[in-house]
Amino acid sequence: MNEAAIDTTWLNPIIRSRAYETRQDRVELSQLRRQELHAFLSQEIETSTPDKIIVVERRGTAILRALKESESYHLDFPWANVISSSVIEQVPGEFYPGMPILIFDDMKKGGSHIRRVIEKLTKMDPTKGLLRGVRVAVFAMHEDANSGSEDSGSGVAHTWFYRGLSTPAYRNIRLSILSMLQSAGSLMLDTEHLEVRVRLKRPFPSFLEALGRRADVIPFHSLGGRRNVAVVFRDNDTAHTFPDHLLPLGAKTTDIVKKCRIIERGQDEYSIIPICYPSLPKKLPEWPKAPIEIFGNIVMSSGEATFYVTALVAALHVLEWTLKALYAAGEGLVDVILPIPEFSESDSKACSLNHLKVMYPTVNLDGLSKLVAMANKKAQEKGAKLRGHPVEVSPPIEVTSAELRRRAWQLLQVVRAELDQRIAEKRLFDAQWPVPHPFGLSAREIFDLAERFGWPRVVTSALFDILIDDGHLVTCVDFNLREQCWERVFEPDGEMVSELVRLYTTQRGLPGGF
Amino acid sequence: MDSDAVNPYEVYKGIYECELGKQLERVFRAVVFVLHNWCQFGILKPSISQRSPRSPAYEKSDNGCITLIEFDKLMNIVCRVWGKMFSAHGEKHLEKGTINTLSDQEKQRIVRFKPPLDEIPGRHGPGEARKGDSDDSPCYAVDMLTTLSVHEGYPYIDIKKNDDFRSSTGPRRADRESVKSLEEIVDHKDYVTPGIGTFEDEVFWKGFTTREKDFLVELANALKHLGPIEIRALGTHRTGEQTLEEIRRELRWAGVERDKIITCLEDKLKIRSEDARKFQNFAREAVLKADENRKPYEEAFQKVLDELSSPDVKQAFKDSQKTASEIWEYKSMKDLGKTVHMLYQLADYIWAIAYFDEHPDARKAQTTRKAQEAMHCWENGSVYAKQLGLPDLVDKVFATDRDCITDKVRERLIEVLRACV
Repeated sequence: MNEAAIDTTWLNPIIRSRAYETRQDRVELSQLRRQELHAFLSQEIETSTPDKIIVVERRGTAILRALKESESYHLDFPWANVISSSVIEQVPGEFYPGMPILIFDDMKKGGSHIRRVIEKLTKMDPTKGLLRGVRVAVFAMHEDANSGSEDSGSGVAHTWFYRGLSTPAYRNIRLSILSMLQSAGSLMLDTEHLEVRVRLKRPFPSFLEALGRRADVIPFHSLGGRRNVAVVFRDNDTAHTFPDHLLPLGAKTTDIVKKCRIIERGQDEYSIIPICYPSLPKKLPEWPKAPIEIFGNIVMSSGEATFYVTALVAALHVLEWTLKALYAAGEGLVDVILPIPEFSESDSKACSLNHLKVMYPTVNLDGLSKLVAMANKKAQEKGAKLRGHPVEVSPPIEVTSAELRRRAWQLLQVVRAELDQRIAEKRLFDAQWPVPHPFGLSAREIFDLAERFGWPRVVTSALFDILIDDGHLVTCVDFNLREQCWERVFEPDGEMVSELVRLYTTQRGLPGGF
Repeated sequence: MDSDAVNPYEVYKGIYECELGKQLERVFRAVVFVLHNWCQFGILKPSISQRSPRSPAYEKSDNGCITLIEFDKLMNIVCRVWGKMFSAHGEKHLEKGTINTLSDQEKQRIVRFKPPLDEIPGRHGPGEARKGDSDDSPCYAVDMLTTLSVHEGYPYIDIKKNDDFRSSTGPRRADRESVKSLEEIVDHKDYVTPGIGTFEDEVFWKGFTTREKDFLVELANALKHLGPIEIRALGTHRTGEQTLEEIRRELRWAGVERDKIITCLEDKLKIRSEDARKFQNFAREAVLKADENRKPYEEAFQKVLDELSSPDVKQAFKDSQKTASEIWEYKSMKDLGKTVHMLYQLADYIWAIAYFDEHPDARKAQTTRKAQEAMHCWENGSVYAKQLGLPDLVDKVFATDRDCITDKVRERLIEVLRACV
């Protein structure tokens, strides 16, 4: 790779820096990184024979998925024994059999992610008994990163594939991992989402047209070259509302993320990923009809757990709306492939819900599969009735990839600037004020910022997808003290991205209007 | 400035060693040049009775000096216009990566960089600052310049104490041994004058392109016609959205002080006058930003436009600052203006109560300046307070048998304060 091509720190524009010199460079590097990650993780699993792997969100999870789905570098480790760092404390202590546990993260610089995982484990078992069987595997370590013994005084040593990396080298590896994930079609978010596949029987434009029935649609390409579509449902559409009894009391379903992502998986095959995050009003809201039979008692174990389960329940409805639009377009448009309830993970091509075990460790997959099938059946019935009924169809919004990437970067700039302003404001009165984690903006706040550019909401929604897929933005769940609610927040992905954005803004200024 | 002062072009080696440091150093020099022009124009200005129509409409500070706050705002204006000049006359080369392939002659015709600073909210409005690495606090440019002057012995600017300005034997110089913090030494109301003695072309403009120099000279010539209040208004405001956010920020800060006052009232304690004073100050700032800055802004904006002759500098100025009507007629600004005026009256009222609670004698006769101020605030706030169901006579606030606020007034104050921000 040409070093200058990805030197984003000074004169070379960051927006263009992510494009490698040639497609071949990108493919070769992605392959190499996949091979290295496979070798590293396989060896770690073989050496430590872990009962559980704790993956550090989000890239750790996405990498594991990309390897599990890879044919040439397939990693054989069951999803049921993988848990996301986000939900460690949501599961009972007996879930962890004691030892050994492997914590996996792709990169380490400041070490805050791994430190938080170790702190959580220490909190669960103050005697540090859990930690005795813990091993930390980090694929690439920056030269500033310590090797583990200093983390929380835990003495948990690290293994690594690369270490002592200078900042440019560290950045290059990060970029190539992201490229590998994009070429594999693996998203940063997809371990917490349902996924249903469809096979197109008519050309792609007909598919887009069908999706635009009572929704806004924007097609775009990921950097890996795959087709993506963002389908955004409007707040004021009475056809797309949630039954009152379904969600926890007081759940807010407007001004939130309420969309469907469609991603190309293969020849004429697409994944449908419904995404919905109602904000919840209290630390632990009441939920008369909580789906305990599907998710177990963790549903009401904490505000955060309730938030995630609510999101999945709401997403089932978003899935139904999307499938309904496809069925309404006629029988010959798509074949819907529902996830297989129980399947062999060695079949990397199969579509299942097994990956949800990472974010929902106690989920009953059979029960959930039935709910997905029910949503599909309802969509089929309702869609059939709608056939032939005239309806306003929104034509897909056409924005070039280059323009979308430019806007995505501008959005990231203003998000970072807004967060920096908040930090500066806090520090004016308390110079030692520690920046909490997470420290991000809600979807509503970001939509408000984007509105000042005059961009349609669906375009902004696609910008979220691009920024998340590019590893520029990460999502977290946070309790908003001012609004007193649990909500989804978005923040720049780590200090490296933040520093680049700040530097870029310092050199170029904020985009017009800010 | 001392004749043996350090070479201003080699200061702060740490930052000078990198490209960003060079840029920052040039920005400091440019801002001091603008300040120099402003001060010179002030000193040469005719007396008030002889003032020509082109002279500042507002009285300049003593001897044509400018305070640190106003200097901070002057820097905002310079950096904003500079940023827009860069967007129009340099950014495309950076974008294409062709900047290093230009001939020397071609380079002279462009503005090569934007000031490497960002506008960040500060205690006294927005100020240019360097963002810290990671989540560190920002470093304000005015603090950098002050540090260079006071601690490091690199006086781009000289700072003179506000209260002893006339009797001062000279500007304070670098005091490397001093362990005092910047805040202990310098006040935002202290005066600032240029610390660089020579502005001759060859020496001073070293490192600038012809285009950069030309626009800075033109901008300095325009800005020198502004009075301090105009500079403050122009540097504080930029767009409607930004002004709304500035006002909201003052209200948020006022809200913090308001909460402290409510806590005191709920605990049946005296309202601390320092909390009431801060509450009042934030409310005052909100009024300035929501309303009173409009007139000086309008005049400053027009003056700068009148004085600028180069079309591209004029355009850069217009791109960097919205017109007064675009700012103060933006969205909900008018409603917010009414709200903050009411808040300010209430804040005056609260401060007067806090003062009279601490100084019962002052309720009858105001013999000190502060007591007179308290009575003035009372008069300002009591008309509105009466509308809110609060007493308009001082004596009715305090119980006659106990020397404290009556329970009825206390409860009403809590209700009113809760609803005010």
